[in-house]
Amino acid sequence: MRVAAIAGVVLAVTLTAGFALQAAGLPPAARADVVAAKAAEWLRGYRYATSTLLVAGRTLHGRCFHGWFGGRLLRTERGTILELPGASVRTLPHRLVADGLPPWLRPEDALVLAGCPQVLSARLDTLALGAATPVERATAWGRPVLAVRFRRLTLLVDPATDRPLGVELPGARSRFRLVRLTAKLERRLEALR
Amino acid sequence: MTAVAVSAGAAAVAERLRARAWIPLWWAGGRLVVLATAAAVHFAGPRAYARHEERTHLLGLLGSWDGRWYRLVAAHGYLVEPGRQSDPAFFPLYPLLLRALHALGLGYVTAGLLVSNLALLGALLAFEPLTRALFDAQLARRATIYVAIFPLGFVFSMSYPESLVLLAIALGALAALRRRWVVAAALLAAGTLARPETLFLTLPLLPLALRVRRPGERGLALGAALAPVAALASFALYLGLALHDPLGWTHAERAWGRRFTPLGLLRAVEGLPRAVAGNAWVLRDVVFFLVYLGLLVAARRAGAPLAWVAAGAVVVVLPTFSGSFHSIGRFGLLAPAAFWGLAALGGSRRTDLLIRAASAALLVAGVLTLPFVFP
Repeated sequence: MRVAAIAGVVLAVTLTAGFALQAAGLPPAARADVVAAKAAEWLRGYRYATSTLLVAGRTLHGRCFHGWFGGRLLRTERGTILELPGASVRTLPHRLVADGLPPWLRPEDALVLAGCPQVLSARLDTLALGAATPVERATAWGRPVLAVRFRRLTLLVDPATDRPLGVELPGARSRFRLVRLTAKLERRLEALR
Repeated sequence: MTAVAVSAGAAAVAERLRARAWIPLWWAGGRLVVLATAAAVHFAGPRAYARHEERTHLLGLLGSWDGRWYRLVAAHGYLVEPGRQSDPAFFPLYPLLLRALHALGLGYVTAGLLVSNLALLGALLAFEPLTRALFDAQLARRATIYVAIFPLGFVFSMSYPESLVLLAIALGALAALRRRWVVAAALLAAGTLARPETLFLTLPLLPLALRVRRPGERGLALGAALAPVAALASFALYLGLALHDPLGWTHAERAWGRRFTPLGLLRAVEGLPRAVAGNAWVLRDVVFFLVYLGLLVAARRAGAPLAWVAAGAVVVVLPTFSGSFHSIGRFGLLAPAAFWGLAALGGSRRTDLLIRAASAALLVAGVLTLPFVFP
């Protein structure tokens, strides 16, 4: 009994000291990093987003899909495809293909603005690692949002859930909606070329 | 009378230090090889995967790979990114030390190099008497030298916690052998907070603790032998409170393709051709895996206690149950019994010289691979 009690005390002291050392010595993650990581996690739960982009005074509506495309039967390519009016951007393994995109919109920016889940989540994963940037309460589209201001990219998220709502880049702004894929919608999107 | 006693004590300490002077010399020699090769790579070698931060530092190569993650934890704390590689996979003691030294004005890369290299010196100084207590002075000398120049020993100079853990293991076991249980408990807990392999030291220490007769001391001894478990629990508690995920470190490991299953070893063997196709360097780890197993057998034949050999086997074999051979070469550095096995094989002068020469050459080669592959 005495043996167990002494061993228990040693273990309890070790547990407490170990925890205290970590709690006192390690900083908590910055709020911006946490928000970005959660937003990235939200994005990874989706493969489809619809968006409204405001770039150079113009409004564009886009839809972005990640998965197989090139036809239901062929399923030749896997990656992300963004469709904008009269234009498209595709990310394929080691390639980025843009068709008909206006010169004032870079393909990489278009994918991020459109909230393409894979592309934006990867970007946020990188930004979340030790960015330590400010998080501000703001208003967008008439509703309160949290704005996380990274260098060259501001992420707008829902203040309650950290769900990503939009992105701001220099001279551009967007709002997007993450949409759960239905079988019917997925079939339609897989037929995209 | 007192002055005479002090003088005699000082003389004894001085004599002991003189008798052990070869340990810092081998440490310095081994580290010189590693640091000089890293510096040569900085000036003339390939850049490959080195990042800007690592290119700007003379010895930045030694701060690469997982060193980035440890620096990230030190600077910004833990952040879990579910489904992605994230830093809870890296244990907290090493970043805590980096952070403490950074607070004194050192850069994180420099702090990492300082901690790792000094910890190795401490580890060698503790490893020699530990080995001597279990074997004899000759084998202890050879084993210590082999640790100092082991082919994968360049990791001991990197921003990795391996040298710190080896220090905790050697010093903790030595304290336990000398029945200083509180010191042993503190060291083993610290080692576990640096890497989970320290947990397996419970295997050789538990029989030692159970042999203690006095109830009070026996309680302390059992507490010390099980201290790694409590330390691991403290990490889980911290992750639970900070990240709401007590098992955050195992979850983060999955993003590196590591997931422990009962058939993990089979998965690792089956997936080897694919792993080699993806990164042929994994063959180096497979070779070291087999070498370590051979060395453990040699250690047992040389009379190493079964519990120590078993602990070494767990350190080497258990990671393969995560379905991968990657980094086994590095993990095996924390199996002291493997070095005892190597020392047992180097019994003849000729073999000893051969092992030393081959180790030094492979140590240089190992540093040269760093721009291309993680250890």
